[in-house]
Amino acid sequence: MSLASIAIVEDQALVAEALKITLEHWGYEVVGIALSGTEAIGIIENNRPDLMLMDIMLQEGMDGIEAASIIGERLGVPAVYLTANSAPSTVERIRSTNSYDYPLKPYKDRELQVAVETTVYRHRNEVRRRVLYKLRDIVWQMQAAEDVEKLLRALGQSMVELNIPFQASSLNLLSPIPNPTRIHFYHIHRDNQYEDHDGRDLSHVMKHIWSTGEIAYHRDLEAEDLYDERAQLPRGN
Amino acid sequence: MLDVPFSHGTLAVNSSEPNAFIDDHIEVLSEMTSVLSEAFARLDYIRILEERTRALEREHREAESAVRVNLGVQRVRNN
Repeated sequence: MSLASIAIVEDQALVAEALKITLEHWGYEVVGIALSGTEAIGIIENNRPDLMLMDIMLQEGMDGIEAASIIGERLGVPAVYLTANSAPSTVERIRSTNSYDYPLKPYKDRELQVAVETTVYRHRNEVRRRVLYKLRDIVWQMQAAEDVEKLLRALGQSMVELNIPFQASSLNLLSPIPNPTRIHFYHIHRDNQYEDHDGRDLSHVMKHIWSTGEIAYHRDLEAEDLYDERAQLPRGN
Repeated sequence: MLDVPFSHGTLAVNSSEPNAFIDDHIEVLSEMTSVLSEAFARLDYIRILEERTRALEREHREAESAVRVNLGVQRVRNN
């Protein structure tokens, strides 16, 4: 698992390749290299990286600030600019876009690394705060039992926005609380939809996870047998 | 598979990739389950209120019909 995914937008192919090697060495995934603003929009739209490294001078058409502004507005991806231009008008344009940092060329590797780390961290926190606030807002607006539907529809969308790499998700509701004997499943999809059904009797594994209040992480489903319930329980149960 | 417990159950996320979820994902899913706990506590409260409202409406209807019966009885007596 990489630290974050990055798109490089740089009109000099050799410089872009060198950046790619450096970023991968630091543990980042480079989803693509674009030489122009138009190419950048396509790559970023298709790959939704965590950030873009953006050169200001690009081949043909729009410059890097214009491209980053369009991408930021449309997809919310933040930019780290790579520029030798520190003219006040350029800095002012940079600040009006979705950017937290712009190491000036010639920069040291460590300066770039800090700019990338800081941007990824700040942007993730900002997205997280926004998504959780939206979810809380739905909860605060719930006036009737049927309003739970809005919450269930928002759950999948929230996880997508938070870049949680799930293929399937399920909200498993136990009842009655505090001594559950039954389970009801809500299968949450990535497209705001969900379906629900009553499960079989509450399994020991589910009840155990719930009663301990501790997160259970099966890191490799191929290597672990989830149906061997006895293996999931502490000794003596 | 990652199972995150909350007050009324668990939130499970699955991926076919081993080690798909990092600490950051676990942390944010825990925050989401805190919101779910708030939501289902609120739903419990809403259900209690809805039940009480229904019970009050039923009592109100019963009281109204009792009043109507009494008025009818008085009218018969007065006549």
